[in-house]
Amino acid sequence: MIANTLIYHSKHETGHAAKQASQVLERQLDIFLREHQKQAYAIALMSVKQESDAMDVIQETMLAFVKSYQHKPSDNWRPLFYRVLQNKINDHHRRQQGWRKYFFSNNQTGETTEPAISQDPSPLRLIETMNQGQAMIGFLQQLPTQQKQVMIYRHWQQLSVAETAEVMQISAGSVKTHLHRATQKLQQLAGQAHE
Amino acid sequence: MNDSIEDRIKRSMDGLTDAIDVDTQVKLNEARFQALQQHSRPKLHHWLQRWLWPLVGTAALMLLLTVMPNMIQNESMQEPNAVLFEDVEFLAEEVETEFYEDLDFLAWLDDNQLLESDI
Repeated sequence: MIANTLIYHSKHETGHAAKQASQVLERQLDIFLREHQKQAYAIALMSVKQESDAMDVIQETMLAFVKSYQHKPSDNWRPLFYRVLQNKINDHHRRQQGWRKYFFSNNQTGETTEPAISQDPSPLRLIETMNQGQAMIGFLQQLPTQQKQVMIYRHWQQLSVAETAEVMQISAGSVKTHLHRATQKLQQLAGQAHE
Repeated sequence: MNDSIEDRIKRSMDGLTDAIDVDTQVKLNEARFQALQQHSRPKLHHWLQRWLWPLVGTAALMLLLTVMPNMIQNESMQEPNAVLFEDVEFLAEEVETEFYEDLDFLAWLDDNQLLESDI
């Protein structure tokens, strides 16, 4: 009788503790996602260039992150979250390329279609951003995709070289090379704009 | 203009983030809420949510494919044939016809417990 009572209370307490732990984890996830959702959206928008597409990418990222990485230590969440984001952005680009190939593969003239992802921002957007005093956004948009992303993760998100490499799934050496080239290009663009 | 490239990137991206409009922020909050809902759901429920409608759709399709040919057959063939055979049998057997014609009379006899031998 006493043993049964003890087992009952033990099970009850274990269940209660598990529920509490789950609530704490959910609160931590909420705080983490709340803190990073706008930055992640800005990164997605810089990469996919359409607001609706950027929102789709963020939704997929959050769902995949919570599903796959919620039980990882919270110290590792940031690089993991941006890695998922990066994968979703890459998936989006692949889907876009797939659709373009599907629709334009039977082009009778054999002319090549526009590149899958234009590296150049539209003139209107560039003018808009420059008028808003954010010329650097326009300069960043002129960089090749990987250089742009390396600059954002490294200098805005303040990720280390190793973390940036992990997020982008490239080597640390490649990160440094992209950083060097991107910095040179941005200095050149900024110099031209200053003149 | 002594700002480094890093500082300018940081400031510009912060500006871009701050400029996100209210509608987009609402959508971002909804996306976060949906992701967290997934966390609080039991696994079975999540499995069901994913597979319930495909399963229901498949079952409905199977049922339709099974039932439809039978219904078509019943309507087009079985009913007219059955009626035709009944009529032919009925007309062919004269004795049986008489029996059916006297059915009311026999019922009356039965009610009054009068057997044929008594009459």
